This record gives sequence, C-alpha cells and structure tokens, in this order.
Amino acid sequence: MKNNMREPLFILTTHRSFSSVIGTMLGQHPQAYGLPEVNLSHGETLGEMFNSVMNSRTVGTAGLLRALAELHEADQSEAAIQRAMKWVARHGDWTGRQVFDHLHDLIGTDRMFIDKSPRNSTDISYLRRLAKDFPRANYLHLTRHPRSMCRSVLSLIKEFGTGRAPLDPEPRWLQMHSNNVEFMRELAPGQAVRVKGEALLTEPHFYLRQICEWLDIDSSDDAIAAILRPEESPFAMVGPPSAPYGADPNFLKEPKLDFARLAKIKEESLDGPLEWNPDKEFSQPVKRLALQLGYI
Amino acid sequence: MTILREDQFKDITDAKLTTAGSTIAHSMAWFQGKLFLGTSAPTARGPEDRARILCYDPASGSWEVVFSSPILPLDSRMQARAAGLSYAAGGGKRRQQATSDMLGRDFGVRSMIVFQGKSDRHPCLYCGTMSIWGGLILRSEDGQTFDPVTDHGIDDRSVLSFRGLTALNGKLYVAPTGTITEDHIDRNLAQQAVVFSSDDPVTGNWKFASEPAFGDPMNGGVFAMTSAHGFIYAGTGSSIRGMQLWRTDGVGETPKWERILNHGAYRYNLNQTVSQMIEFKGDLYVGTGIAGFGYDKENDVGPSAAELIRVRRDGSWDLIAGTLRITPDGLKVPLSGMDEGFSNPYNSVIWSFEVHEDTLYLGMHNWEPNAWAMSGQGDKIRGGYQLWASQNGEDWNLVLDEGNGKPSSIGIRSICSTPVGLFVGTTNHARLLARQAMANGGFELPELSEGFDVLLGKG
Repeated sequence: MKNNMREPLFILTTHRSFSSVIGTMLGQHPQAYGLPEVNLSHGETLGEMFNSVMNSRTVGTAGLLRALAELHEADQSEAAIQRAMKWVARHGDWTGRQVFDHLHDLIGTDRMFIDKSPRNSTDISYLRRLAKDFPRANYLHLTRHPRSMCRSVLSLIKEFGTGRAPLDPEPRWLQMHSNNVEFMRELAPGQAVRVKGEALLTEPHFYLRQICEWLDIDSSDDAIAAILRPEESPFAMVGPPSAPYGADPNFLKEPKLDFARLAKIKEESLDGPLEWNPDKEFSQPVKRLALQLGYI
Repeated sequence: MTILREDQFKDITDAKLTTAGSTIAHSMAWFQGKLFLGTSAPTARGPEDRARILCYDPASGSWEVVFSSPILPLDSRMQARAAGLSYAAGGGKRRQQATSDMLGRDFGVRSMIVFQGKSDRHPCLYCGTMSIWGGLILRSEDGQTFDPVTDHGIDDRSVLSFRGLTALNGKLYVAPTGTITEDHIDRNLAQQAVVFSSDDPVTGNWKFASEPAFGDPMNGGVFAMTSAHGFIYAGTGSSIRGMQLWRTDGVGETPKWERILNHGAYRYNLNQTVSQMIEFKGDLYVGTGIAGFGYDKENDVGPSAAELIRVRRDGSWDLIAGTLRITPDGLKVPLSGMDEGFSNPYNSVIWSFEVHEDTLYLGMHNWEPNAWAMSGQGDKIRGGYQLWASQNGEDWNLVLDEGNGKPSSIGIRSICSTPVGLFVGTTNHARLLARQAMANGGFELPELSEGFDVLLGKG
C-alpha cells in the first residue's frame, strides 16, 4: 500500500438494504469515490469472479464494467463498455486486490474508494479476503429491518423477474448479517461501525456527520451537502444495454432523493406473521440477530 | 494520592470463618469503625449454606461472625424453590426436591448501606438479603443484632433479593432484584422493575417510588441503583431491548423519573443490564454486562463483554470502554481506548466500584477460568478477577490480574473504602470449575482454593 493512499471503505450489508443509495451518497463526499457493485471478493482472479456472475449481467458484471469505462474513458456508452469487457478479458489473471488498486490509481489514491457490493457478505471467506488485501480498510455495517428487506427483495423480483435472489429472502438476511457480525468481531476496535439504514435516511445530516467523523474525513456542512446529492454520481443513472445497472435499478431510475419522504421511514416489528408467508413468523435465529442489531 | 499497587494488597481472609459453600464476599460497609461483610452461598444446599455477616476489627486484625441467618424447615413449596437454586447454578436436569429439609432463611447478603431513618437514633446498618422465602431488609443498630424491617419481598414473595440500597435526602431506596418461584428462578431480574423508598424503614413504611417498569413493560427489573449529583439512578435490564437508565430527584410523593439511557446505550441487548454504578468526581459511572459467562442462555443473548459508560449531570454520556458506535446521541468513541470488557472478552460484567483516595476502582467478573475448564484444558487454567483503577475516569491501570494468583477467584464482588484502607471481596468458583472440567474434559483440576477472599490495600 502506498503511504499516501487513503484506505477504502467497504459497506457490509445484504441485498435491498439501502446500500445503493447510501453507498452512492457517501461516494459523493469530496474525499471519496463511490463504486457501483464491482464484485471483486468472491474469487482468486478477476476472470474467475467475472465469469461466475456473467449470468446475472444486469447486476453481476455491470458495476465493474461501468466503473472501468468511466474511469478509463469518462464514458459509459455501449462502446466504452465493450472496451471495458476487453480490458477484463486481458486481465483475467489479476487478483481482486490488483483490480482494486488499478481502480484506486485511476480515482486518485488520496480519495477513499467505496465498495458496496452485497456479494461480499454472502460468504465470510469473501470478507476475510478483503481484510487480507486491505488490512487497514474501514467497514460500515449497514443494516435494515428483516421485514422491510424481505419485502423489498420480493418486490424487486416481482418487478424485474431477473433477480437471482431466493424466493424466501429471510435465510439470506440471516446468513449475510451473521457473516458481517462475525467478521466484525475479527477486526481491530474502531475499524468497523454499524448504522441502521432507516436511521441514516431519516436523519441524514446527523448520521452522515458521524460517519465522516469516524472515517476522519471532512464533516463540514459543504461535505455533507455534497453527500446529499447522490444524483450527481456518474453511476446514478441507468447504463447502456450491456451494463444497465450495477446498483438498485429503482435508485438508478430516480436517483434524486426525496428527503421529506425518507424522513417518514419507520422501523417495523419483528413480531407477527410474514406477509409473504402468513403461516409463519420470523425464525428464532432471525429474531435473535435482529434484536442484537437493534430491531424489536 | 496514588493508585494502590499490587504489592500493597494483603489477604486478610480468616480461613476458619469461611465455609465451602459460602463463595461470595457479596457486600461491604464501614460501620462504627469496623468492616462488615455480607456473604452468600449461592447454591444453598443445606443449613450450613446460610447467609452470614462477618465483622473485621482493624484494631485487632480479627474477624467475628455477627450474624448467621436462622435455619428454617422447608415445606413442599420451599423445597421446590430451594431445588431451583442448585439447578440454576449448576445447570443440567432440575431436581424436584432440595438436598436438605432445612435451609437458612437467607442464603446471601447482597447489599449494605449505613443510613439513618426518622426513627433511628443514630446511623444504622441496613442489609438486603437473598432468600427463597423472598428477600428481606435487615437492620442493625449495633453491628451485633440484625432484625428484618420488611416482610419477605416487601409485598411480593417471588422477589429473590434486595439490591442497590441507596440513600438520598433522608430516604432509603431499594430495588427488588431477582425472582424465585416454585418453577422459576432468575437471580438478577425481578418480575417487575420497581423502586421502593422509605424515610423510616424501621417502621416498615415502604412506598413505591416508581411506576411499574417505569412505564415500559420491556424493563425486566432494576439491577443497580446509586445516587449521584443529586439524583437517584436506577438501571434496568431487558433481554429484548437492552438496559435503560432512569433517574429522579426524589422530590414529592410520586417522584418523577427521567430516562437517561435507552436501548442498552444503543448497543441494544448486548448491554443487557446495568450491573453497577457509582459517582466519581461529579459524574456517574455505569457498568454493564450479561450475567454469568456473558451469555444469557435462557434468552439466547450474547456472548458479550461489559462496557463502562459515564453520564454527566446534564444527561449526556460518554463511552469509556466498549464498542465504538454511531448513535442517536452522536458518535461514541471509547475514551479509554479500550474495547468491550476492557479489551478482554472474558470480562463479562463490571461487578463492583468504589472511590478511594480520589481514585475510582472497578472490579471485574472474568470467566476465562471457566472457558479453560470447559475447553478441556483445565490443567492450564488461567484468568480470574481483575481490579482496575483510574484517577480521571478515562485512563485505566490494571492493579490486580488473574485472580491475584488464584484463578478460581473469578470476580470482585465488593469493594469498600475505609479510613484504614481499601477492602476488596471476591467470588470463588473452585467447585464449579471442577465440575466443568470433569464434565467437559473428563479430568480433575489441580487443587484450587475454595471460598472467597478479602484483601486490604493500603499505601
């Protein structure tokens, strides 16, 4: 690691937990750069990782391709995406760390890159790979109530029909957050911090300032104001046909946030039947972990 | 004044006065120029395991038993309650009947304070006991005779004990702590989180000083109380939401309470309970924890280690030792630089505090010896209580470590500042460790000292 390099921030989360919104917001900080979902932790080489997510091109490879196209050419046209694909093909033997370093060099190493790929949290070995590659990185554990997260997953599947999320998202919420919690125990004190997505979006100024203080980056009003304009991110739009998303499609379609609406977000209850499975309530392990994360 | 050093502590325990089952030096008070020590036998298997109060005369350096709880016969209901004690302590299958048909009325003395009520001619020693019949508050005028000034449990015989005896503006406050019925025992949380007060305890005139559960049904009980900067503070426990901290100035017939901390100080149920509190240099220091091995098996909470929090008079708070976090009260960075458990995952509960010669002392419960015994590596047993000290509340020094050479001494349960020095009382788990080693590793531990210790530190 170069001496003057700012350590990255990895957002630990699950799918459908505001990571696109919040990752993009934080990426607008003048000392940061928010990447789309680049998915660079789940294999030894870029080729292995890229090929394993080819079947979900709208999500799996789009983020990396858009990041490469933007950083190489300041262009996310279809042609630029095709050139990014060729770059990936030429560098298939690179490790994730090498690709991250390449992106970081293009971004400028005095800026913090932010990776919000939920895939990182699907297996704790992926998180440990990140920790090995970036032993001094910062980790923000972003949580969402399991009821609203599950409902959001099912809604997205219904809307787009191409997602690969399981029909029952509850086990996914449990597994990914369990991985995150276990991983955080392995980190140095202060290296990771947790925030409820609902709280952050309800009172963004208040919580974003705390995150900036924790990251030791500018927490002035100007910096916070920049964070509150996620729509200015180069990735806050739908991309070309070969790489349309790389983040929450709904956010990419309407990236300008309605903070008055967000202020009305309420946490839901753990108790009671599940709308998608009315004969059931949340399992005990889900309730146990949710209580630990502050959801009642 | 300087912080006491390890070599300035001397073991003053009189082995002749300890019994095998009496494993906890549970409470202390300085009264009429002597140290009074309340002991507990948490498993209470027979009459010998009764609560006692010992008195140490620093002039002669001798100990005396000044109170032994009376022995009472067990009827069938009390048999069932007594059986629950050993079940809760040892785990495994619950027996239907106690091992004896007689038991001490009290099996522990959990709290002490010197207080003068309206009818007291002079300051008296008040003691909160643990009893399967329902906890009592005892009073002594002379340090020799101890008589109950309450009914069992005051108004609820499922109350296991009274803890947190605290005084403010001529009133004595106390909280029911723990629950015991024929089929249930919880050593720490009463069925209802309430505070009682009395300005004349000897008359039995106790009043509710708080509404039930402070109006929040999730509060499982008040475990710790103290007075600080003109307020009575009460800390609750909840396995669902985590602890809360409440305070009142005690004014009026129905004192108003204000919530100071919520949601386990935003560590949620990993700060399950406020375990102990004290005022130091105008601020309140709050210790947290999950009883036992930092894991609440019944409610599946934890594992976790203790935190130390500082509350100012204006209600704001700092994290002194614990998990850095984002909260609705702002970013909380541990000011000591130490993580939860003072960066020791086995420090599950802050058990005791005391201020002595301008220094704050803190006694830890440390279950590392139990972890070793349960891991099948008991022959290398290590760990044991820690005593920490700080002169500014933020920079902490480890004074005593690893049970001061006795790994079976797993916690410091009581500390008392006196004109003759700082007394430290411990808890010993030798018998439990032996059972754990045999059950998990199939081997016998090297001989471990039994019974609690009392140390006296003086510079």
